Amino acid sequence: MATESTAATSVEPRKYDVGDLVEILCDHMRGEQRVNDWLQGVVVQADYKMVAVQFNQDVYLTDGWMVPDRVLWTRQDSDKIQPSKKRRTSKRKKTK
Amino acid sequence: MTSDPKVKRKRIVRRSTSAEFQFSADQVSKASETLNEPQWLVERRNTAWKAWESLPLPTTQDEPWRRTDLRNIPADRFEAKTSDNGRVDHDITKPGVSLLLRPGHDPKLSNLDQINDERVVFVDWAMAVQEHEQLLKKHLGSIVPDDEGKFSALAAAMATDGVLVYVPAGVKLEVPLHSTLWAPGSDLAIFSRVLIVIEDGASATVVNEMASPDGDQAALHAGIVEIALGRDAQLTFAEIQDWGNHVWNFTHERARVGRDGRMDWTFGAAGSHLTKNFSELTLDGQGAQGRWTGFYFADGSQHLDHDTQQNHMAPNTSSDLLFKGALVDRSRSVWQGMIYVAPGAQQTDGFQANRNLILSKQARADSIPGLEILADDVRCTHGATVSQLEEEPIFYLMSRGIPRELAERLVIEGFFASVMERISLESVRDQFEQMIDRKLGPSV
Repeated sequence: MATESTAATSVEPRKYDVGDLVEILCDHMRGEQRVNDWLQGVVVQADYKMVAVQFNQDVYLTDGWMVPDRVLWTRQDSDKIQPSKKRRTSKRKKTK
Repeated sequence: MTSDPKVKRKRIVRRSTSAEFQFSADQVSKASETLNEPQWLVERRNTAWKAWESLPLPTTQDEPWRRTDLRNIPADRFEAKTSDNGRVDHDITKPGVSLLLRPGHDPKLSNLDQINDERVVFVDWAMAVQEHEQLLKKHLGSIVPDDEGKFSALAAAMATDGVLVYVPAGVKLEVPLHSTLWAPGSDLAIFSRVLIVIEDGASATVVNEMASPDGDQAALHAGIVEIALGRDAQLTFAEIQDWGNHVWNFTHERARVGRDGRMDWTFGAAGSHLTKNFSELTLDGQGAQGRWTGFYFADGSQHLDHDTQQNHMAPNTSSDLLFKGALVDRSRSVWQGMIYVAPGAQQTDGFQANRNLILSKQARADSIPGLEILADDVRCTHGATVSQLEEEPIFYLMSRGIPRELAERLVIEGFFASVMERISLESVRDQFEQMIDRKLGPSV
């Protein structure tokens, strides 16, 4: 039959994939203050359309509610996600 | 003292169709002359013209037209003429071999060299008349009779634009064939025919698209699509209806599938002011299979009416229909489906489902499934739903930081996912997704 691809997502390019370190523009705590700024997280689920990002601190919706499980979702092409410029924030203890 | 409550009634003024269509027998003769047709085709047109003249304009008293009212059709405005300048705003860069048709302008055929067998025919109607008369003689009108309806008679009498696809026995056509009828213009009448013949053991993929930009004044399209599949033949057929919002669109379509043949029919509609479409999938030979996938999305005051029929005429046949549609603004959809199982067509599987998503208070969807079973060993199901956006998935998405507008969009896209997954052609799927984007407005 046709030479075209028949798989729904086979040729869709993914900007972000599972394991990527990213930054999300979201509400979170910095010290005692709640700020809306870029926060580093890791992509835990991704398809051609959506990305789920896990954080290691509480994040909030703009109306103040805390996000369950510290996981925020965003579109792959959203302007509220960018590749992380920093290395991993959690440092592992070196064993001597 | 109490006074009787005063009831104010809104007066609805409905214009009756006093306007008459302005087509004439001279135009039928002119169509024949333009294509330099042989006598038998001239006679065919004349017979079809007589049928057009004798058949009354359908009214809501006729059962198939009960939900589609033609009283406001501006009949006197339509004129069989050349479409506006040949400029094409539409994206016609398609994979495979493409044929662009513009009423009154020369057709444009691209990538013909990709067809790996020179016996394969993929030509416009003028070429079909000149070079493939025998094929027309054998098949034209054998699947959709010219006088099947008022508008099929009109199309048969007047059509000069169209496509003939012929794949001879045993040929497996690798490359998809894509035809586009592009007809910009107002006060215009467009008539088209599509004839696809896939012989025994052959296979092909055909995409047929009809499109125009929005116009200021009304336009008319009447068309006929006929498809014949031989024994063991396979066809993937996709139709894209993307007329401008000024077009009154009427089509009669039928596919006949032979023994062990397989038809995968995809249908997408987002355009036109009003559409009345009659489609039939007739499984004629034992073991024939048909899969039918429909997608529609209406907005504004669009009215899309699809009448589908799955005919099981032989044992061990199977058909599976899924039509999904969404409606916004004051738009309306009608889907009326029927599964018919003929006497003796045992071991038949027939499925049909129609799901509608209503996205505004004024939109309306009518969904009427039906079964007529005259055999006693069959498995048939049907189902129809009309629903609104559910709050729960939207709330769930919003709890993950997705804004409401985007959450709604994702749920709508999710609603159509089961339709998209059934579409094997990536370019068609992309086009349907673009239609959804266009209807929902710019992405958040």
